[in-house]
Amino acid sequence: MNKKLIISDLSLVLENNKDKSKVLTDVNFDLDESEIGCILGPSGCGKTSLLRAIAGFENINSGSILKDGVCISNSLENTSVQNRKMGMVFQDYALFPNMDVKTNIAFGLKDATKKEKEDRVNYLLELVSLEQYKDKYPHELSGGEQQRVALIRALAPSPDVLLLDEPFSNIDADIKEELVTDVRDLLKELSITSIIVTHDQYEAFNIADKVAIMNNGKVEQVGNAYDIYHKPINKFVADFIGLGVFIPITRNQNGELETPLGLIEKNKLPQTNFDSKDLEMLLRPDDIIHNDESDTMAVVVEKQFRGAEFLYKLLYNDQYPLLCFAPSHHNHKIGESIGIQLEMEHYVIFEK
Amino acid sequence: MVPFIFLASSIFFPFNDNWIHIVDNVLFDYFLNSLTLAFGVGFLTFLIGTSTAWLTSVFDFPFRKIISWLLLMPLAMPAYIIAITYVGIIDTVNFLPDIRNLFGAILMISLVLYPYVYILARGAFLEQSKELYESSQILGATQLQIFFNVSIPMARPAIILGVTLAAMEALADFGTVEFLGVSTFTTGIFRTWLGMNDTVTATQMATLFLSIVFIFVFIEQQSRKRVRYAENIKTQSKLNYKILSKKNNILIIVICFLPITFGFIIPFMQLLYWSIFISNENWDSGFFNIVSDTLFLSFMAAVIITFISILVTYVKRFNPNSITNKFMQIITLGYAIPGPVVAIAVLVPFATIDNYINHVLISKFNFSIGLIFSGSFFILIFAYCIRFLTVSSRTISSGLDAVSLATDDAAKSLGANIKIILSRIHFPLLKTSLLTSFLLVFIDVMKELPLTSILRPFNFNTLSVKAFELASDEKIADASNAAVMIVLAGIIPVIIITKNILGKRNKV
Repeated sequence: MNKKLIISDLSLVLENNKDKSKVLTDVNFDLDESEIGCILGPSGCGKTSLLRAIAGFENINSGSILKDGVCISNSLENTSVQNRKMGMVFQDYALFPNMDVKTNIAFGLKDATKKEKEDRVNYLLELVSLEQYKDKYPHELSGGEQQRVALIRALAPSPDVLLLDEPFSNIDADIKEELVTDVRDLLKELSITSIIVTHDQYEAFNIADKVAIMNNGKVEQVGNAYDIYHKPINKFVADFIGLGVFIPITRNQNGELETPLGLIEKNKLPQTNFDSKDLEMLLRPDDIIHNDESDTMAVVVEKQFRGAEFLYKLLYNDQYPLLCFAPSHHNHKIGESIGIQLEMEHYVIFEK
Repeated sequence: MVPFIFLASSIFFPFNDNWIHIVDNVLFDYFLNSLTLAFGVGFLTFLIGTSTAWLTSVFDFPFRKIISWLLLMPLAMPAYIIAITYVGIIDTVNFLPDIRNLFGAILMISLVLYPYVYILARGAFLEQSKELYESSQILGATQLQIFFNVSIPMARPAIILGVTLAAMEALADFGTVEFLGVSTFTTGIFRTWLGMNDTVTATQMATLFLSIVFIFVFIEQQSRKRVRYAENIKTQSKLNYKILSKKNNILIIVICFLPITFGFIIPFMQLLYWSIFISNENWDSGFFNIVSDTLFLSFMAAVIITFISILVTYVKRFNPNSITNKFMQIITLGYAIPGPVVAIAVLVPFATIDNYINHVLISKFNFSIGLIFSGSFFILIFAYCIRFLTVSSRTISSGLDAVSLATDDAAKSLGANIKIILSRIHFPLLKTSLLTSFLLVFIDVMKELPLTSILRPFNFNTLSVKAFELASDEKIADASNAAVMIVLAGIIPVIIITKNILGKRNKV
């Protein structure tokens, strides 16, 4: 077994003032060597608590955390934060305001000689092209520069695992995309096992090899970005990831599905063993194609211009809202009826 | 805590004749005078502080920067010293009205306390956004309408805080009212205790008085909650200073110079004059003994109180639950309690302990060691703790609050232990706060009058006590040497405060 990090059946109860609250329940997650994992979920789902438990800031109540096959935390014993060899990048970066950039980076290099420290700091600064900021203080840097300093400060002692808590949340939208790619390239180049916590799914899709969707202290689904988008295993994941609407469908005696947009044959379905007759189907905007030739018509209720395409919000049959992407030269007015066509590759069906 | 439980228990003692006499004859006067003093000072500091704050934060006029700094100078002048000085001036100049009455006391105290309101109101005015101001103008409001309908209401929490601080300090004042012969609760307690030798009645009065003070403190803390709220509003852009005509410029400069002149320049010049030309007190070894005693006492108290504040602040940081917070609030109430009340609350229980120890020793061994606690440095510094822990712990805790908990976590994740975190991160970041706390306590102790004069060890004198004694013996000019030194020392915290404010400005 060559898993770098294994979290099994982890539960965490946090106490504040008088009430105790269970913030994590039976969390399972693992990472291979140099894999980038992402914990994605709405705010308050417990993702930061999970990261803090891995880092060693919280002692877990049950389950275990294994690093390189060695237990670093269970309900009885916890390796101290200092001895876990985990690097962490904090949401507000937490750079030491009284130290300049090079001292900040060298802070974790305890047993190195002066020369070694200097070389390591210079090497890391070069990696993120910040050589000229060596002697500056944190408050003299922009948000993006501070973030890069925080990143290499965490990398300086060569940690076994790097933990990043919402590292891009304070970054302006226009440079964020580039920075996310840069950070991914850097982590891959250094082949360091990393876990990133975020609430932004596009960030997660761009950076991670493996995504864990969390809700209410539980991991709902683990998988790669493609699978999570196209094969969500429950309604929460389907709803949380990407755009989409649910339409009601029913199963007839033949096992076919009757939808407002037509019949779906049994052999196309990924699964057929439903308990109930009343079902729901997820329709992504890319499942519905705009086709002027089609007889199926829907009314445009709202539209959003996105440059290359329009996102139309439609109403079908006066009762079913639908979403549809159309190339941006198909410019229709609100209130107009347009032709649509169902073209599904991935059927996502839940029981009601 | 213990001293105040003891104080509160005094209501269970039977009320004696003195109590009845006081309630029948003077209690109402004490009450009325204290209240008039507090409200009078509140009103006058509001007038002076808010108007000067507004003028210096909205308009641009020659010497604006230096004037906005000079407006803080009266803070260096303890109220009892300005009162002594003006009484001295009036004694030599016949046509001036007498200030040895309640209104004189209100005027004297307000002249040195208005900077509280000024600092807070100015901060609030400067934070107000340009957009707000411009939208008022577009809606057709004139300069004065904006002042009364927008600026003042927006700055209200800050102004209330400043006014309450000034009013509470006036309520706790001892030296000024005693010197000007105004009977307030504070002087009443002092007289009952040390004049009539009736400790029981004095403690009962102190308890009654404390209950009133707590109501004030409650109001102040409520208003502080709103200040925090107001500070959370982020402003987009700062107001530009308005430029006025020459005539108006001169008017503003004159208005701003009134409180500076009467609150600092005139009394300080007079003190210097007396000190150099008139004073019969020599700068002899006796005087230098007093100076060294004062410095020694202030230094000891500042070190000890700063150290206790560090402990208290760290306990709060590492145990941020509600009990430690409540405890913090209770131990930091001291600044609202007048010196004589603190003195009685500290001295009475310790005297009881002393008497008990001696009683036991005499009955068992026929041997007495005298008074251990009473009249010792221990009891004096203990009393200073009650009084000044607030100043010190607020300074340090605001410094420590600036070091986020994530910073500690970051250091830990990089392998640092508590020792490294404290020495390499906390200490460098707290250095200024520690020094500030030390200096503020140092100067406060140096200026302090009633506690020191009641609790000081035998044959031990400080500048403030000396100045007050000489002045009370009608040797006002002779008091000037000590007074000048106190005022000069008092300028240091003013500079610290100015620096803090400027520092904050630069960061924004």
